[in-house]
Amino acid sequence: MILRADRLTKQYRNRIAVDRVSFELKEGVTGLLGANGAGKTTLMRMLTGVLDPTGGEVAADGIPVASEAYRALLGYLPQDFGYYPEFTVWDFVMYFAALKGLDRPTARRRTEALLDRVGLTDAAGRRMKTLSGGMRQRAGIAQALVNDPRILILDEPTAGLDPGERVRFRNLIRELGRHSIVLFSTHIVSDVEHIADQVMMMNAGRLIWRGRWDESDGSLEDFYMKAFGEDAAHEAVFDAVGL
Amino acid sequence: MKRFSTLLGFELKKIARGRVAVASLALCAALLFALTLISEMVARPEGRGARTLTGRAVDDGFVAEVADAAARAGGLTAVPPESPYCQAARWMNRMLGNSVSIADVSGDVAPDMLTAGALYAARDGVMETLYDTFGLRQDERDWWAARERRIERPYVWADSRAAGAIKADSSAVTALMCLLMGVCLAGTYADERRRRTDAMVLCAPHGRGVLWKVKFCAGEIWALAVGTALLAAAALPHILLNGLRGLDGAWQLVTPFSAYPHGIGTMLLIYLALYGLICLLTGAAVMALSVWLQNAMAVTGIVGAMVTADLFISVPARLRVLSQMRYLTPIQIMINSAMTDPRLILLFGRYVTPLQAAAMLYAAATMALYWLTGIGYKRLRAG
Repeated sequence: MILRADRLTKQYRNRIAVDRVSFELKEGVTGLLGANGAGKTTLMRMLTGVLDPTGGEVAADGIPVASEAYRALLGYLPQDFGYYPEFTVWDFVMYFAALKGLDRPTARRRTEALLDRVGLTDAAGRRMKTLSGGMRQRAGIAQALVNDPRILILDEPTAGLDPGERVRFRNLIRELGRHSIVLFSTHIVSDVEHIADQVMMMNAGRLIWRGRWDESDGSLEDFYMKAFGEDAAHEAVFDAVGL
Repeated sequence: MKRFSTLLGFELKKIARGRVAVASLALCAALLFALTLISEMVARPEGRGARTLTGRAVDDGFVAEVADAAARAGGLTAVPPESPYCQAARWMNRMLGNSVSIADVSGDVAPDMLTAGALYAARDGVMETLYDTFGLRQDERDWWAARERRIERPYVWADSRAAGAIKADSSAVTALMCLLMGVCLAGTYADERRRRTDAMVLCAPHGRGVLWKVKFCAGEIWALAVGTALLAAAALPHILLNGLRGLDGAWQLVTPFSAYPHGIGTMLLIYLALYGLICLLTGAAVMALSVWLQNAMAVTGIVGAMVTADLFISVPARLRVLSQMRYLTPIQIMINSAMTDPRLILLFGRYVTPLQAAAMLYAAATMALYWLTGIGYKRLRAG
């Protein structure tokens, strides 16, 4: 499968949030790096179809982003997402399973497996509002994966996770990247370094660098600091220590 | 279809587990029940023994007995509550003494005027004045005259206290139901954005397609549930303490100046159906506002303002079209029915009564709002 973005642009009145971004993604993990306001979230929202672009197109194997067929391929974890306080964790994942068209037995099976995978089996009966931030994040990850998506878009998925959870989640993403297109954004350069097959860097709405990164290329963090300057470096440090 | 029912269950759960919605419903229902029960307990002696008269024709003999009781008490409104004639005396007082404004008169009618002929003649006189006041055309008068001829005279007395009380409370229940709907359903579509769940929902395959219909359906089910709960809370004390009797009696025992030729039971069913349609219409209106405004507080405010306007705005009867439209609004049709607006509406060459017109109007408006909700939802983008 190929996810293609062609000259994708989003303009808000006098500000261009995403400026003619084009790329093609295949199965594997792609890390999207960029400072705050670089346009990562706007780009991801256009890739999921929840935000209409001002210009350009998105399609997966020719299936346009606005179609139901495209949404059937999609899993999305937004940054700072909400929840239904009256739902239990089980209800929350089952609800999205129903929204994604899974029949009840499949939804049950998938929910059970995913809650186990994200370590929420014991919390399945707990109301969403009683969960910690990290547990909510894991429930969000479970809903994104419930339809076994071919395209998985994760906006800051490791935010709020403790170090142990982050390691576990990185492994999960790496595994998913074997058969799906995974695009995840983060401030944490080490997350990208550990699991991404390729890296995209955005600045001021533009894609400024895209390619494969391996250890022989040196430190991605050094490269990132050079590319984005001191501000981004400070942000990266703050994010890494959880501030 | 299977997914529809699964999603419907979740959407109902979202509404039913909303603390504000459930707490306000419980509070309103409890308050209605308590108030009705208290008023019923206070007024209860009025009906003691009234059942002994059930089945008797309201003829000269019957009227003479009521007149005797009134003479002993010193007037029709002075008949003591424990007398079996109390309810009949008050009803006759309304028949004889009511003005066209239909406000119950406090002044009494001399008992020696009381004959069956005088009673029915007084009612006919009031009906004519009512028709003049509403500016009825001759063909409308003929239409009603034909219905009048189907009402058997003399009326057969029936203990209609519960039916009358339910009817009298219906406008207050309707107003409360509308307000409550503004609280319970205002967030149906707007809350997804407030909770920041909209992006996850809208990128799911059924999030754009079937979900708005599921939400609408869940909202309408909830609307009917709220309506039923409030009506039950208001009606149960009357039914439990008086029994729902006299359903085969003439509607004129409850609403003397109505020309509908139906029994009490039939008219109660008609009003019940109309009330159900009002519940659906109100639910649909609140949900349409919710999807278009995307702000639950604003929706609740607008619904409150609309209910207040419906309660207090008045249009003189001489402005026929405007005032007819005014009487077709949900709360007014329930209030108005106590005196019965006799103005007919010409539809496809046939006359329909205000009650029939309101039912058709509410059903059509609900369908239009369903369609508008769909358009609004399809235009939604994540916030």
